[in-house]
Amino acid sequence: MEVALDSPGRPLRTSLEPLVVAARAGDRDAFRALVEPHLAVALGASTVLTGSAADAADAVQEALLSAWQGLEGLREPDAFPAWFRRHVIRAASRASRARDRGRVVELDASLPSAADDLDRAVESRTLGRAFDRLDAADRLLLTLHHVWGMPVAETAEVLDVPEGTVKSRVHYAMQRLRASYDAEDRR
Amino acid sequence: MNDEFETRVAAWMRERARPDPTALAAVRDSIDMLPGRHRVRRRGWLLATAAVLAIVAVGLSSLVLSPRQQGTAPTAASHPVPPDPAAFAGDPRVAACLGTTAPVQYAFEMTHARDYQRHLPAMLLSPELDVDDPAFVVVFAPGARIVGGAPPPASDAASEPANSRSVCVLVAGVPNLYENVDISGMRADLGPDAPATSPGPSPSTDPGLESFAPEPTRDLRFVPISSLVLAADQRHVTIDFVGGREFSATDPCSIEYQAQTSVEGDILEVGVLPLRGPAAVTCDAVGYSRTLQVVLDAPFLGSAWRDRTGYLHFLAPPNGLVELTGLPAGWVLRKGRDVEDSPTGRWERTYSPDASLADPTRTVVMYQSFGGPVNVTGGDDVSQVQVNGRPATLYRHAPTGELVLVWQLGNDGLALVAFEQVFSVDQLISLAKSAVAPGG
Repeated sequence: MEVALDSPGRPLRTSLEPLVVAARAGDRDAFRALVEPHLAVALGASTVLTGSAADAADAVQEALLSAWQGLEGLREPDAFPAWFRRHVIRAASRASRARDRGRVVELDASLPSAADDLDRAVESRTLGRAFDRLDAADRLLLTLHHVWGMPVAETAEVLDVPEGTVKSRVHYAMQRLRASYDAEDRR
Repeated sequence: MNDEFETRVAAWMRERARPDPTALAAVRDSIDMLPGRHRVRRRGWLLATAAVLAIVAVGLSSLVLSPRQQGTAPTAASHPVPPDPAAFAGDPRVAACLGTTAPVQYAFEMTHARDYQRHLPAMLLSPELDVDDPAFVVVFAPGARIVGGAPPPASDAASEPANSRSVCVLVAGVPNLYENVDISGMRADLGPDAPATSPGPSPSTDPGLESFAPEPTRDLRFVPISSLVLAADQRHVTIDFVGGREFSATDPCSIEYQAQTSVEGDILEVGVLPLRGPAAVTCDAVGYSRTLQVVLDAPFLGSAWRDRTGYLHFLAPPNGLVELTGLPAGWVLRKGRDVEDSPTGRWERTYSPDASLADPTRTVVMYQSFGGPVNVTGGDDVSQVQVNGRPATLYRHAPTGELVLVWQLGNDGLALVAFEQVFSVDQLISLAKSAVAPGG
């Protein structure tokens, strides 16, 4: 892999361009090297969005396929991580919306083990139900923010909204989650 | 906002986002199952698998067109031109889109698949449709499910947005399936004034390939085979494919498969068929890596096998390979391999001065099809050139410098892939001119 010195005194920056070029030429190992650092978080974020490990795996597989076949559309190789994230978000959002239409959904993956504190387990279950009651847009926004730790600028680009509104949307999504949580808690 | 609550939410989300190891392993494994890069056109992959599973799940029945909805525009669709689906009754493309198992509301053709958002402006981005191939669209009736097969409960159907539909887009014989597509503003006919979308070559701009017959319609009874390995004893065959879950009598969504083999002349014909399952109609359409082992009655001495879905594969370099006589000194053949998804077979050869092939810009890759389209394309910068007095198509991808030259020699389709860091356009054309058919 090609390594370039970003500037004196700064960390070395690894260029993704050779891997992208090789992947475009059909090198699966190069593609694997490109996506591997992102697979776990992609699957985790998709699991949060879809509420199902199987749906999440399906979404990430779909994202892998569309990214692999769409490499020509990646204009800046070093932007691969953000570009791949968008493929994952698109696929997981589809699956998430499908969930809203009544598809089979697995129960909250964070079921308590025997050792879990009961209160914590109950809260986890309640939070899960509250989160699942949010609409797909809120679930996506909170996932981007809390799971992916996505920068505001990238979140704005993904959601096609001005940067200035991202924080307020997160705030309102969190308010709705709180209301949903309180409603669940009263049941 | 309550910071303490937000902290708890963040912790809960991180916990919920902890990936399932089995799912993560399946995702990693799926990279090996990816089809070749789309530069060489191949079948759909997971979506095709989903289609197959859906077919298996719901079983085949006769074509059902909803008379109530024929020719009726969706409530909020603006200027849709919904052609009467009866016009397509009996059309094999409807059947290929699972129209034999779900009521069809609309059906229409698209000149190019990449125009999908012009026809369905509210449909989400679908990069797999960004191709020039013509496409056939089937819009299913409200509430119809095409993945998983089962219709939703009445309460769910009633709560769906009025314009939400399941849609199939058939491209190159492969059904791409989408659920919950917003068909608002659907237009079947774009009309003469519709603006063009992204520029790109259409098949008709490639006159060198026009004389080829279209690809065969896929036989949907069979499951596409991902790979086949013939053991050294020439009798043991290992077949990999993507299918349903491993069969278990207690799992209603599992599927048992059977491989059928026969030898026709020099070709081993292989088909994979579902034998048992699934018992339920609400199974998901997730694909699983499956393997079948077959022992042939006698050693197979031929050099090719055919997937009964309609594609020919080579087990060894086929006869009739053209020779590149104009390679620079030191450039030699480094590897060759079968390329999937061609009804007449394709073979790929890689030339380079470097044994490692580590630098793709110092390679020349040649594709050859045998009496069929080579189906290789490249970057967006497309121009028409001449090779030996015959029309050829040159694709250039500026960001990488990749050049792809597609032309025809005799009945064979040929393509060369090189990089302008090493080859100029003129040099690449000269190299193409140096291709000599065996005995030629």
